[in-house]
Amino acid sequence: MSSVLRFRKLCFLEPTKYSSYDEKTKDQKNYENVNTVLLENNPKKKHQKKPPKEWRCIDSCCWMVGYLCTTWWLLLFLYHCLPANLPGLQVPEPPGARLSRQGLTALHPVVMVPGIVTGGLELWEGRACSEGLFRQRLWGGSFTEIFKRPMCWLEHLSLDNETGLDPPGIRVRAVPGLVAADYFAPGYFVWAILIENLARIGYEGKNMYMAAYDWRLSFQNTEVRDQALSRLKSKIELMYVTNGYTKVVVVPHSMGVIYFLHFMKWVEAPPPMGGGGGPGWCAKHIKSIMNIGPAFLGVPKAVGNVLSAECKDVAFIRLLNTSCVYLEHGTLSFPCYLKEETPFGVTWIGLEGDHVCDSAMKKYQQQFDMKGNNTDGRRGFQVQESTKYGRIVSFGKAASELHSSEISGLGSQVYLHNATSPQSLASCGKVWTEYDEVSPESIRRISEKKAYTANTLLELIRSIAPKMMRRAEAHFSHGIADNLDDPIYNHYKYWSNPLETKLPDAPDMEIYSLYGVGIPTERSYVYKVSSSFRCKNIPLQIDSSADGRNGCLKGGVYFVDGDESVREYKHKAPANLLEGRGLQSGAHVDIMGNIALIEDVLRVAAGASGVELGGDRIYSDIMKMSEKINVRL
Amino acid sequence: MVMLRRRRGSDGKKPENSQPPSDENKEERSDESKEKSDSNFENLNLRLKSAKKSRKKWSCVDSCCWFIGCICSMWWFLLFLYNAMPASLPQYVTEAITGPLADPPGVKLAKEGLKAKHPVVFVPGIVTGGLELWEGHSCAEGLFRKRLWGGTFGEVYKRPLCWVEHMSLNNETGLDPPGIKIRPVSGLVAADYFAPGYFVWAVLIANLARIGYEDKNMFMAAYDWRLSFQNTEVRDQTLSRIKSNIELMVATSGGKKVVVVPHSMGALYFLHFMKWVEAPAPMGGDGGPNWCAEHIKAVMNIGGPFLGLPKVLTALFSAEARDIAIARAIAPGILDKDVFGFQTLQHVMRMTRTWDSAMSLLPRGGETIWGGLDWSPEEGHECNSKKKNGNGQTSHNRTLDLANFSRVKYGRILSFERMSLNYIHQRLSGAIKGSNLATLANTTCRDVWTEYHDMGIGGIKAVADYKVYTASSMLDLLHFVAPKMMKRGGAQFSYGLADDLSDKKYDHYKYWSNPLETKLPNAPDMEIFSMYGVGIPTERAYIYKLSPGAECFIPFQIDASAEGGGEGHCLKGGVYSVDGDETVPVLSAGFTSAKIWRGKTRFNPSGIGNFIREYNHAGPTTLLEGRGTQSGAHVDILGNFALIEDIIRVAAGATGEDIGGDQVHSDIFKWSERIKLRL
Repeated sequence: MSSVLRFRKLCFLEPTKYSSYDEKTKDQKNYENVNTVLLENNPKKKHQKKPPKEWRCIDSCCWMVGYLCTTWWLLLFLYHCLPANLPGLQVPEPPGARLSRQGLTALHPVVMVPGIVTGGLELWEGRACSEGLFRQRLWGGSFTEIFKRPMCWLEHLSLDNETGLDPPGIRVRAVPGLVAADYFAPGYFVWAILIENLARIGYEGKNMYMAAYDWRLSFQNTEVRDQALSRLKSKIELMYVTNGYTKVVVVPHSMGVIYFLHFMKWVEAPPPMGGGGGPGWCAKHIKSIMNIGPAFLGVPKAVGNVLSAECKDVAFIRLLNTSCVYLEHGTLSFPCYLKEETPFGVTWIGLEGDHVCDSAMKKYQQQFDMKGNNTDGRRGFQVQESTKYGRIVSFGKAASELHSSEISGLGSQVYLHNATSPQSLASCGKVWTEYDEVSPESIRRISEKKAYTANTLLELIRSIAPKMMRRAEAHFSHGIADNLDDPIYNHYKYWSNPLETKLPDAPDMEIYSLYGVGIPTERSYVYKVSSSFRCKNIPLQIDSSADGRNGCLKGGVYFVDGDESVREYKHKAPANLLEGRGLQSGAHVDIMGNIALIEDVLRVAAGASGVELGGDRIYSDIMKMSEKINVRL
Repeated sequence: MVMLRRRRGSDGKKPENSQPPSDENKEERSDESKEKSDSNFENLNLRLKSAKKSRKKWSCVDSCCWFIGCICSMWWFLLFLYNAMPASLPQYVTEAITGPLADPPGVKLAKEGLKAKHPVVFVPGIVTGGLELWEGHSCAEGLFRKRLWGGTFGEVYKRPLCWVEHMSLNNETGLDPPGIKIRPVSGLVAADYFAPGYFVWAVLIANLARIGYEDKNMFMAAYDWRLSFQNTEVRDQTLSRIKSNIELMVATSGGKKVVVVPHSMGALYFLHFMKWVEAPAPMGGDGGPNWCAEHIKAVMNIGGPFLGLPKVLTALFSAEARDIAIARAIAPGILDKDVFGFQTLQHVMRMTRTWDSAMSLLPRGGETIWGGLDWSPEEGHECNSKKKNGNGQTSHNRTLDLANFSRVKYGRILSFERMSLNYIHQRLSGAIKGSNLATLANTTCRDVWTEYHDMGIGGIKAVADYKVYTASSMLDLLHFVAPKMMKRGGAQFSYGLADDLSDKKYDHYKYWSNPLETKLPNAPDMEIFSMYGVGIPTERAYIYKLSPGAECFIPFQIDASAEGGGEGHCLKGGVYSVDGDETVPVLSAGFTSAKIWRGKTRFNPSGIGNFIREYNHAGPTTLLEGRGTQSGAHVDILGNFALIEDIIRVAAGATGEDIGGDQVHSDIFKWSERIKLRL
């Protein structure tokens, strides 16, 4: 306060001081005298003096900025003036336009079921830190909030660790409508291309529906909390009626495939647990299901997520940064480090593994049994085959190539669940991972075991993250059914596992599997025990020094009730940058822009059947691989 | 202390300007060097040359760049500061200036313990719902699924003709023109904000969310507001969609009935829906006679123009309302002349005339409701309540003696040449329809098509000669000047007043949205609220004149020079106004609930409870308040805290009596009394 007063005083006193500075004015006069003398002497200098300011640093900065801006605007302007199609650059005709010229028109309503991660989530109620974000997207869109308030963002996207539902005071809900998953981030399409092409043959809002759901929840919980399944049922019925009683074509992508599988079981189940649609519901309302990049049997990638919150991409970063991170923040846990040190891509992977994401869990779980069987099937080839995909996680590269007989059995292993050392809890701040409850002792044991197949991995994860598994097991199952008529399979936790459910009784329904092949895909991992057992470090990490990228799983799809057509799409990367993400891509998400795939979807939506489409089209060894798996049909 | 010293130091150096001395210092220095080293004169020359060069660089382009750079950097800097600022800062500032703000109603009621109970359905009105493009002509490339209506309206400026073409409907069918598909945006985003920052439903939604509402128990019944109501079902199955959604919400919320909140034209739309849903299948929704009773708890109409809007007459007649009329009077050269080849007004008119829904807002009930040549229900209304001298609204007119003429004659909705008492009563059908000019006009007026060209000058003269039009003769007039449009409209809407409601013909859908020709559904437990703002002058009647050069232009325009004498006069700029919410006159919004639906009447056989809730307009006191929290204006009322509180209370389970029954500020009951109507 006093300083302010003094400052004021100064300001007020200034004018009086001016007058008192006689010497200074004198000086000035002197200068002026000198100047006039100079001017007389050298009139040339007069010109030189006119620009009053020197060319200072700030000026040049401003000049630079202005120059850049102007150029940028000019280019932007030119770009906008440009005709949409440069003569040299022929944009290939979208399949929708071609097919509409062939006379295809909208017939069957289309239901799209987005997969994990691609659906947007918005905030409906939040804590104080999220003020101003009401009905703004927390997930999807530009993700700006991650940078602005990362901890707040994490808090709001996490679910309750016990119930798997909203934490108190926070409501994050799925964005409804087509906008939910047309673009994931600005410019990164998911469904947009397909929607656009469908629109070209006459589809519009009334006969397309995006079955957006909160992908963080377990499937049954989406019904419990949001009535998402009831909503989907009602929408399908509505579209069926308003479009003149034509059945719908369902296009699920990625995890949406399992979600829709769950839905089909749910809708026919009796009311308290199911939708009460009666046994003929699917046969009556669904024409075909066109699964894009289905993950029926799970995705090995999810193991990486859950086990140590990292996958291939993250592992590299971690390796690069290890030294500096450990130097600077010796006690930082890995998730901490993820949140604070690394850019966005990494952050949400960390989130997924750290705060538990049920859906990620379930994906890998289903993989287990297949993998188990897979290894069994491969035993005979062990001598010839160098890569053993069956061992999803192995410690050390050597272990991944050992003969199975050299690996010690797991069954007898007992993991020590020491009561968490209070020390570590105290020192580790408030970031909670279940690793705290697992002592270093047992971590070492885990790594001694060397190699894990799908079955044993399940036990491994159960030992290091018991709470998560307990919650997950209430909602998902991961076995193979021997007898599908057993009444236990009426429980909803079995509904999304294709190995434990029967498809609905709908002989006219067709199931398509559309997926890309030709890209190396993560299939199994080589792990090592991370170097420090300090407090919050996640003790296991992918060993990037070994060649962990040994995956060549060809979109691994296998379906129990074989009456489906499999259509594969060869991956062909975009030829030049102008093509963006390519028209023939086979990558998991980019396949949504694949011309051939879109054409198939359009044809089916317009009424074609699988046979008319050309039946199976297979590039990979999927049939051969399926042969190796012994399941009773 | 350090700062202080520094200041003194700088003060001591140079009081006026710090720049000159430094320059002079340099001068001096260079001077000294020159004096010192005369031998190095060449050196100095060189230096001068280089100085010259640098001066040359500092050219015009450079200064431009410098200037732009400066501005950009400043802008970014400010932007950065703005973003770094905590979000609640504006609120602090506002509170510092105006004192602590009242809690938003949602927060207040959440503290009282109110919880989400009944699902809420919003029915947006005309114009406020967004429309997006699904299929278009080549000029609309790249606009797929972009909003043509609502949002930023960027395309209006970029390609106006293309925009008009896409927004127009087919003139014959009232449906899409071939090759163009414009569809309503769906979901809550359809009408939460009309343009960025201009809320419509957003405030209400946010407040409902505070007591626990979310996407699953709120539904925006977005529809294409350009179509006639029945056509939304024919083309988009919108009514079926609303029915299915309401059923779904009732089922998923455990059998709780919905609260419907229609706004503006949405009130008529929902009236249509209620009739449709109970009608048998081919024409209706086949929900059975008890559908409404089983699914609807309350209908809370916000500013519903049940009897239509006089404003719409002028919009259809000459594509102008008060705002445009003034612009047209001030700058006739711009809007009327063919500047840049755009015939703006004509284009707008051509577009709006293809929208059937506009015709749902034409005044209904004719002279019985809106008043005849010599009487009107609102007679005696004083426009400026502050100045209450008896003859304030009496016009001291230059033309005629007005001894017996102390009332504004609202009944004359449209008059040519002000105060023409000696009108000649001639039926319009007798007017000469000069078709001789039609072909000529069509060729000269480019491709802009308004039906005026078919009429010819003779017809226009006849219209003007008729002098005075009431609500019912106004319809004849429209039939005369725009026969095609009225033919289309006549098939979709009706503007009459039923004598016998049990007549079989009233089963047709064109009567469903007219409260004067339908019975309310049989649902004694349901409640109907009429909520609207009062206290703002609202357009009610107009004075017209022939516009000069009536060849290619719309031949009529509002006579913006007609002014009433005195402060309190209701006539301003050729428009007579009454009390209302700036768009809907009180009579139109409140009459149904005040009279024909009150108690058990032939319009309301089951005795559905009716409540009138009026909200007095109080504009925002400071700029910081934005559009105000006590506004009564037609759209801004959606941000009125009192109204939001009422809605939330009803949604949380309260009845009309619980929230206080009627709340009336205007003379609506008095005015309703004057309307003679068999109940």
